[in-house]
Amino acid sequence: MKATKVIKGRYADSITLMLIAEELKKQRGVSDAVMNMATPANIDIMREGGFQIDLESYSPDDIIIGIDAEPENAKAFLKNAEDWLSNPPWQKEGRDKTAEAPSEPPLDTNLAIISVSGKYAAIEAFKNLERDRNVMLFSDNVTKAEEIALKQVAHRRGLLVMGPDCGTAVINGVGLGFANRGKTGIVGMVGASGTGIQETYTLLQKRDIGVLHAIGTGGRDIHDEVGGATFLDGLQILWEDSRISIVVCISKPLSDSMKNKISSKIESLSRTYGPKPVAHCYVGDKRRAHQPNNYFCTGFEETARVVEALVTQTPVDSVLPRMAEERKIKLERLDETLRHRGSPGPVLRGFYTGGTLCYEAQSVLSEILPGVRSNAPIDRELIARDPFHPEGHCVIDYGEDAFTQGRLHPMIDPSLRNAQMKKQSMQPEVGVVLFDVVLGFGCHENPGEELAQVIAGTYAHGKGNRFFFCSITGLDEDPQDARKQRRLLESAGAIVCASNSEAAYIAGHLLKR
Amino acid sequence: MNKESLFREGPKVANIGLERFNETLKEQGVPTYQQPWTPDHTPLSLYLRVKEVERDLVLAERIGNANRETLTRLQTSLPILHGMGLAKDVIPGLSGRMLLHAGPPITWERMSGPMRGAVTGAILYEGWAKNVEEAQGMAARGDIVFDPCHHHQAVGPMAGLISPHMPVFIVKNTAYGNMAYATMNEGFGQVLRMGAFSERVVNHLRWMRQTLYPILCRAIDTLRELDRPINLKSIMAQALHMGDEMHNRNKAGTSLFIRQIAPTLAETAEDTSKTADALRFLDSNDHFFLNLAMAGAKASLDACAGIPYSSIVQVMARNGTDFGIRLACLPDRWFTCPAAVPKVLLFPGFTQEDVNPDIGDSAIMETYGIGGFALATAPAIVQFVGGTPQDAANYTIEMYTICHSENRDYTIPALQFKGTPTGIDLLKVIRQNTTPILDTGAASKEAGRGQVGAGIVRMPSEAFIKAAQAFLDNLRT
Repeated sequence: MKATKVIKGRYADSITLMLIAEELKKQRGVSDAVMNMATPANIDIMREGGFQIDLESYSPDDIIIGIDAEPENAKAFLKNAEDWLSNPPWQKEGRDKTAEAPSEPPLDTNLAIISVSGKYAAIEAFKNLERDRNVMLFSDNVTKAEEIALKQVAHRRGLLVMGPDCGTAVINGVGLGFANRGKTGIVGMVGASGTGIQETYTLLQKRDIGVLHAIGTGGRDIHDEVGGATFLDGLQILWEDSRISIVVCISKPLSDSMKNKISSKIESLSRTYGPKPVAHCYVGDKRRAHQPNNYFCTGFEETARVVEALVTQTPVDSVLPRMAEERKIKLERLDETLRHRGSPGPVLRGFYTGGTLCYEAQSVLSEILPGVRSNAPIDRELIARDPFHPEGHCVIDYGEDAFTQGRLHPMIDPSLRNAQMKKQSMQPEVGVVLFDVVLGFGCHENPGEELAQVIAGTYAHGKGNRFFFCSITGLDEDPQDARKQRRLLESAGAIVCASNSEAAYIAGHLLKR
Repeated sequence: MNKESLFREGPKVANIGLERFNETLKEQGVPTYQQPWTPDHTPLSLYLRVKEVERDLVLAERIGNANRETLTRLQTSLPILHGMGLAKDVIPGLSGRMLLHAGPPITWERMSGPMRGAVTGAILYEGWAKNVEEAQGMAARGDIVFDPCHHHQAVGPMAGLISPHMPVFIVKNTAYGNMAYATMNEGFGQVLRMGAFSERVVNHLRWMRQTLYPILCRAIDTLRELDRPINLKSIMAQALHMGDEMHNRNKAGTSLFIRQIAPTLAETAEDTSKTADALRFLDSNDHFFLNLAMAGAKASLDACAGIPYSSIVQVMARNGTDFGIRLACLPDRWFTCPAAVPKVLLFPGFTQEDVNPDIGDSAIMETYGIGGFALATAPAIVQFVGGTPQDAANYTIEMYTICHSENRDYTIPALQFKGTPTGIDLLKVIRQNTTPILDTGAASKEAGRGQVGAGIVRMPSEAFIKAAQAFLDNLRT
């Protein structure tokens, strides 16, 4: 119903009248509202809009309100409009904040953590370097040229740029980005891999070994064009800090030139500051012989065990044979307990949220099963062309670009990974399912819950001869509580292994038998 | 050294982006704050080049000197109302079937609804076509030459159409001798500049030419002959103290203009009832002075064209499709990008969907250092911009960060008579990641529907980024 009201002898400017009309329109049951000074022109317009107005009775000094609303409420709304002339409702509302002049930060800062969209990240990082802040650049999609420029500027100014695509760091015992809640200690790490840092860090914590710094460099830092700018500056920091007595280096495979740069940096630092033992872990690289104070490992668990040997002053050379022996025993025990469930389907599938965990799994599996494909393969020939529809043995990194366009990282939102795991676990040829569970600040608050449902759902469909293997990259102290996650997964029927590489080892061998 | 502080004392964090990182740091007891962020579209490589120029003492001094020279010319310019004439007789290069329009160059194919509507109306006004279909057919066939007002020392609000037989004001910059031109403002409602082209619109334009123009022209000529021409700069300076910012509010400027011209209108009246009609029209049109202010700004800014090394923006304009700027050092080049869509307070019956992309040469007011840049002085219209005088002041304060200096003549009582932010410095725009804001009218997307509202619009950064690239390239040559 269309109704009008006149307020005699009252003036309000046209903006105020428009704003009040806007407010009226927001009310439930109001389909149109108009407020004007009652000039002949305005009355004409309102009449065209279907309001019945008698021109003679008004003067241009009056305000006229027109409203189209449910009849029972129209009167009340007209009354509201009159009240609002004196008490505009919008004056209580929040203001447009964009107009505020830039304010100074409320505290002295020495680090900017930047996670804005990659298109805008480089310039933001640069502006923070200009403000004499170190930078942790979580964002990806920063170009290589921009990365090089940023790292040159940082080096010149005596600052550090961690990233781009740096997901995890620990500084002075404080976890940044995706980080676990462990204790500080005598170990310093520098790593071109976020989940590599997390896996090693948690495996060290489980051995009661604390970490003071873990400097993330971003995965591209060790490419020849970037030249390990942050990696090398990071080593410098670890040597300069006298609280650190053991160093861990983590990365995917290195070029020869990068290997040389790192070893000569370590040599020169050792000459200047004295030697510190280094555990190197370049996942996917060929095994290299240990050298004095430089121990070369191929997986994160081995690395943690080498550090443990250094801390406990037991022979480093015995680490690998002992680990192999332990795994063999575990495998035999499991084989016995699982035997009654029949032989599994012929195919292995892996579902990873951590890129380097996926990489490490491939590295382990490559020695057990031939032709394991991936969307992020160690060997380019083994690329999985369609990661949504894998064939044969295949492990997928759900943090790869194809999966993260317009989505959160799977460590925050694993729903896509879980959905794929659910679907593929039902496929008849699939016998062994591998996956990771990454905990820590910033990660999904309860990843085990949905995974347990997926596993239980598979078994409920009578797929008893499926085997689910995982490990938990996390600590009991983490917000998600590793114990709770383990219970969830085990009660659903998953086999929770001690490390990512152990899970891959056992899964691969079990399938092979 | 902040690197040592970071690794010895631990992180003290400015978190930019995902708030969850800020939250988790707080949980760990780490000093941290969430730093507000707006996207900066500037490529890092360009930003680094700007920085390089700033560090180059020789270049930086050259640019500094050129910018000071630009601001001197801008502020010593003295625009006065010199006379009137038909566009075809006074505007250089306007001839034949040519129509001038607002903003950077554009073809009929790419014109928005209101621009096409205004073109249609102008063709009908000129009598080049008998009806709408014929008029639009001519335009589509290429029978009409389109050219920006800015290529002819002219400016026009909104669609900004100037056709050969429209009367225009002639504004003279007495300090530098150059001229600028603008039409008379048509008033409110269904008007050509908003894209309306009905018979009523065209008839009103005819009335302006046949009745209003001779009346005003006689008075203006008389004042000039008596050596008492109307000083536009003086009116603008006073109006800014009376609540105008000279873009969306011209009530004070229009009143001052009427006060100054009224006695002479009476003295030169031939038909008192027509003169009375003219005065009533001026009184009914709060924006009458806008076109004069724009021509005054244009005359002043044109005196700044062609100063090598100057990084001051000399033109900002929109044609309803594109936004374009020109630089004092590269006055013949346009740097363009898609125009922004203003977020406006809508008139009854319209929605945000109806709003056409930004249109009009009136951005000359901000380029000149007033308009949206002087919002702090116009409390009466602050409700367009968010509600309180403080909101308006914040816009003005923000604009100081991208301008060369405070205006010598235009001051803001509410800011302790600080000069308005004047002279948009392209390099500051890039460095501050802040583009100019305008307070503007908004037209309906659909030709003929007219104005839909008024409000604030921030200029898109892409044109400034392109201009900065060209500016830096030009330094090398």
